[in-house]
Amino acid sequence: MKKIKDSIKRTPMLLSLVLILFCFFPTAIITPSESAVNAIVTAVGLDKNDQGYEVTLMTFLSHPNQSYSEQYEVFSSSAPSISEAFENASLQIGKNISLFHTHTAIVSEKLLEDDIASSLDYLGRVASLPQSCVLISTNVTSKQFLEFIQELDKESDINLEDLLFYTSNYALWKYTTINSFYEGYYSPVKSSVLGHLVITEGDINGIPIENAEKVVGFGDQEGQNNQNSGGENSSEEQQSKNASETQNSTSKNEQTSEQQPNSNSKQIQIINDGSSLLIKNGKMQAHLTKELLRGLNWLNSATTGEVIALENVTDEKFENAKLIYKVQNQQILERFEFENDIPVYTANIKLFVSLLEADASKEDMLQSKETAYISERVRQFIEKKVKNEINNSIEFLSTQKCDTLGVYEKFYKANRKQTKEFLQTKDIEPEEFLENVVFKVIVSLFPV
Amino acid sequence: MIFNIEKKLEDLKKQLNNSVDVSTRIVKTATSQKVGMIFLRSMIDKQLFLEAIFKPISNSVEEMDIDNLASKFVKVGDIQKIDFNKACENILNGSVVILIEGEKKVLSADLQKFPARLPAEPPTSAVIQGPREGFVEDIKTNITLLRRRFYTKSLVLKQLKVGRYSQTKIIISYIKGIADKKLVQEIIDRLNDIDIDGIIDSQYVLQFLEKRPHSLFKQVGSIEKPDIVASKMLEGRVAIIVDGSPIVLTLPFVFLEDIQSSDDYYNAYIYGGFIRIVRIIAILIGLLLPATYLSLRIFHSNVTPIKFLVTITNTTKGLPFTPFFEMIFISLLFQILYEVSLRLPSYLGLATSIVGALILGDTGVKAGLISPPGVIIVALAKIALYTVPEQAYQLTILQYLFLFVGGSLGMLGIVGLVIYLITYMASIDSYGAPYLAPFAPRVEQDLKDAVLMTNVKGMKTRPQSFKNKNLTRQK
Amino acid sequence: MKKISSRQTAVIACVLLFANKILVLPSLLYEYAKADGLFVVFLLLIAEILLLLIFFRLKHKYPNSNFYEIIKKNMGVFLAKLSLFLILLYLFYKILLVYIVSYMYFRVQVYLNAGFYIFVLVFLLVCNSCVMRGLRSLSRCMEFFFTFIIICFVFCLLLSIANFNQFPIFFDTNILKFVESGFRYIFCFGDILLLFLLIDRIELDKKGEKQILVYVLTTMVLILILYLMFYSIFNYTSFVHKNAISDIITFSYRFTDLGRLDMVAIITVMFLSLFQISIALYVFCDCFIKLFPPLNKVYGLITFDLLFLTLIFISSIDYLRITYFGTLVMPFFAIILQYILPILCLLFTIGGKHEKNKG
Repeated sequence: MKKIKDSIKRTPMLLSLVLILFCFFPTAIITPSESAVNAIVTAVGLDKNDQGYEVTLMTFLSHPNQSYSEQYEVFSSSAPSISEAFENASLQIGKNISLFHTHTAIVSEKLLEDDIASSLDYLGRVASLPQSCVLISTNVTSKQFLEFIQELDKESDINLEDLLFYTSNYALWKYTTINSFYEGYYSPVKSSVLGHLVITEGDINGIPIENAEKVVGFGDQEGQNNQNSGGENSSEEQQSKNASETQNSTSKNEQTSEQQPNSNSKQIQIINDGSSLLIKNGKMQAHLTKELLRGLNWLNSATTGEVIALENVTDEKFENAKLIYKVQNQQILERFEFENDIPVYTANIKLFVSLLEADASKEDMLQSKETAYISERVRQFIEKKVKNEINNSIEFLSTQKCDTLGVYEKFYKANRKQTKEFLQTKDIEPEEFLENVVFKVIVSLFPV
Repeated sequence: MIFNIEKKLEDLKKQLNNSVDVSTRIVKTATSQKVGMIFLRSMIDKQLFLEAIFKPISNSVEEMDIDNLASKFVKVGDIQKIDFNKACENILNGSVVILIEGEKKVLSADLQKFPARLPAEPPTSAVIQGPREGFVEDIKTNITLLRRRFYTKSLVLKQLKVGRYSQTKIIISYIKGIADKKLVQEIIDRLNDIDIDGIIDSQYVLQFLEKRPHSLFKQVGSIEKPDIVASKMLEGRVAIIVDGSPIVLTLPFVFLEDIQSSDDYYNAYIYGGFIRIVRIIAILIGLLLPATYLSLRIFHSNVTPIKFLVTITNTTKGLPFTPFFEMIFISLLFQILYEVSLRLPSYLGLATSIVGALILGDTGVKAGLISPPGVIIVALAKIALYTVPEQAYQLTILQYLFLFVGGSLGMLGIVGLVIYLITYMASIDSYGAPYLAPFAPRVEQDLKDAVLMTNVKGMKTRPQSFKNKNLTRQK
Repeated sequence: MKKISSRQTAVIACVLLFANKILVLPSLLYEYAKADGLFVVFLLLIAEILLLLIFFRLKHKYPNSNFYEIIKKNMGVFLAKLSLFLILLYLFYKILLVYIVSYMYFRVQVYLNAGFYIFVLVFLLVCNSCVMRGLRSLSRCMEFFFTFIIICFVFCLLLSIANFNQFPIFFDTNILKFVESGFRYIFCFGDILLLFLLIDRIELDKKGEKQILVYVLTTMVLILILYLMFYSIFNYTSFVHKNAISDIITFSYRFTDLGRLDMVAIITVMFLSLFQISIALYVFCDCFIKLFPPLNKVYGLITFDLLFLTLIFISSIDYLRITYFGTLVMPFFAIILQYILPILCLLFTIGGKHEKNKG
């Protein structure tokens, strides 16, 4: 005993080592790797169906190989509540569900008919879904969407993450995360924007999906039932109906394809054109089409690369030409002031444009080779176009009472007292503030 | 007074247990004076004995007493008049003891010679540029190597003898006026306290000098090259040279010393700083990488980057072992290979390295017993430790400890162990020098030569982490 | 007695300053004070600096006495013992708070499937051994890692710049809410009190005082930047994010994709929480020894461990409960110990002779 005591006294390190060894060696030696116990989910889809909620998980499955390829499988399960649906999915896969690596969450338009904040809350708080996870909506069910993405991923290099990230430069609001959703949700104006990816059928230039027929309830109605769908076939018809309904509302271009429904020669494809959804109080308010979004992007210095097309331009150099300009850079100077107790928003937009393409006669082309070309006529054209687009978009936002531009907040920051008084005298809520703002837009062009 | 030389020689022979290598000679000179000689055949230079002692004495024609024997006849540099009772000791040290009838004292002539290595470059501290000589087992050569670097009277060499049977010579060397007197005295006291049958190597002495003998960490510097010892002595450290060992000990010792290499000073100092950072990173990789990998696999798959996780999951799917077991298995495999390749003769060592690398590694992976990431990580970690060869063995133990903690407690356990170790190291005090100096406690002036070093011109002061008599190095 | 240098004191002060402030507090403050939580923190940190100045004065007046002796000299044995006893309880709560908050953090961020015994074991083992090694080794260890911790912290802040959104709306809460939030969470501050308890172990000169002030001010600025970044990034959703230092990094998913850079934040918090608990535990044992003179620090540790383990095993404490308990009971308690006691000390320094410095 004394010997042991002595040795402990001499080497306390030994003591702690033995202690850890004693306590943890048996457990440590038999603990399997965590990735064998957890299912790594990279995308999660939420949906509503007859049973309540449907959760779809895009899960990474390991295949013993040396080629390091990623293979994903889509699982889904339904239950009256989201947590139960997760439990079911967990049982189905036979692993814990780990949402730590989830980069995309998809909600369907149907789910957006109700407040989604509470649904997402479970994911954020309990299931540790990162708040930085991209949140987008889709016109089809999220399950179908994920199955499309899976097909897309199998056959090409295009993956959802990169697609979304790249687009975010062009249409800023395409890059919407769970946090940005909540940010809008909890803000005084209670509205936010959600990225929207449309899956449709037709000639439009989207990203085609080769084996789309496999996906249940879409495209080819005779398509094989996928084993992974887990018995939700009852909603098949309804889902396809859903899909065609939403197509109606998307964009004008699509309506042409709508006239020949379900033709086999048409391909199913993902349209990633920058259109978004306006969300208010966690519910879908309206579609923000590509054109409307463009109008808002003029007020956002972070977006670049907008293209302005001018038809029938006649000036000193060109005659009846079609000119395409590209915005290389844009700067915005904003002022938020009250003039005679009326809020006036002044935006001084500086556009640095260069001529990208000119469709003109041979002589005209020979005369002007430089990209930094701009004439007074063109200037007027572009200014008018930009102002028009901005006005349209703002009008749309005002009617929807969705101040996603954050105009109210900016006014509040700049003139707190006046803004408060203004709200009081008019007896309106912050979300209605936008309607009362007078917009003054000054566009100046700089050829580069 | 010596009268009967035969008897005296017989006495000495008896004292030396009539060992086979004891030789005695009695010479009768022209004046029929008897001169006796006794020595150990194995310990002396026989040629020199013949030329410098035997011939002059046997050819002498005049009467000899001990004084003119020393001054005229014996042509050896190192001669002493000693008492008869000390003769035995001198014989054992390789002297020829000469007895003359009628004298009180005897003459001892040092003719020590035994097979010794020439100073060569030590394999563990090879340099690209810089001096290549290293210490050898012979203490005299070692002293020469050191003395050659200090043509000054300030160099002090004090000799002690330790070991009841081995009577090993230990030389304490320092520079007067720089080294702290108390430090020297403390070391001498500690050495004098040693009561052991024999000192075989300086490592024996080292263990007596360590203030925490049970600690895993090395607390005494062990150096194989005279240039490094010289520079340490200039910093105010004390060198301890042990006979029979090519390794010289220095005190006080701080952890940082093993990260420094003499090469750093002989190359561009910026590169020196860079390479020290590399060494520190290598230590960190060696200690922490396997443990971190293991903890990521067992506990923290959620913080592993997804691409990395995919690779790991794909390659470890279907392995028969749990992650912990796999890592321990691969680590042991490497340890065995290392040990084997160290012990085997070089021609076989090559074979084992091929077997190790190709057969065990590659086939193990192909057979699905071990995973490629595991092999890479363990291999990298094992190699990384040898960037600091002096600490490699200690660090290997720590590597296993970390592996263990990482596998059973995860990242928090690793951080906890790091804190535990650093607190422990911070509590070590090596003869007045805090073990982690100049980082903890921070010694501003010493940071110049810590990680990012300045050039020699910039190092104007001696280290202040421990006591020095004279701080100024350059004016 | 082995003393610690002024740099080590500065490091201890900085590490303590980080305690409880970089994880839950920003979101808790937001619930009451909105983005003005930043100013609550600012004012309370200023108070810490004032406490530090009081500490310097006290040290100047009593270079050799320990805290207990100082109080005993001025207020009598009973009050001295009482205040030590209260401090003991206060420290226990503080340690528990740091432990629970970091435990919840690690649990959510890195240890999904691990049992809680891992945390208990690591915390107790490491902190107990640190205390056993003594203050000097502990402070040296903290000094060793301090640069690393600060670099990591700054790295986190730099990463968060990429996520910077826009400044939140400041000065938008009424003064009552503002004061209330400060009052409720006052127990997360006042860690400089621990320096008072180590007063006899610190070597201090004019230069050292300046050094400590510089270190503490820098840390203060770093903490304020964290709050500013946090409120700027999350704005209206601030109250959801309970792990400030991690969340400001993981806000952008590109960073998550790159490989979870919040690991840097996690490791920083691991170091900080272990150090904070160790130093608080050391002070706990120190008080314990003075309160019950014949016992040594081993008994202090055993007492603490037993209390701690009983609490952890019997009740399932989470950060909500412990902070709730804090907001309920602690404010008055904390104000007395954190602020009134040092102010009393300030009164002691007025008049009377200066003690001679033996060191």
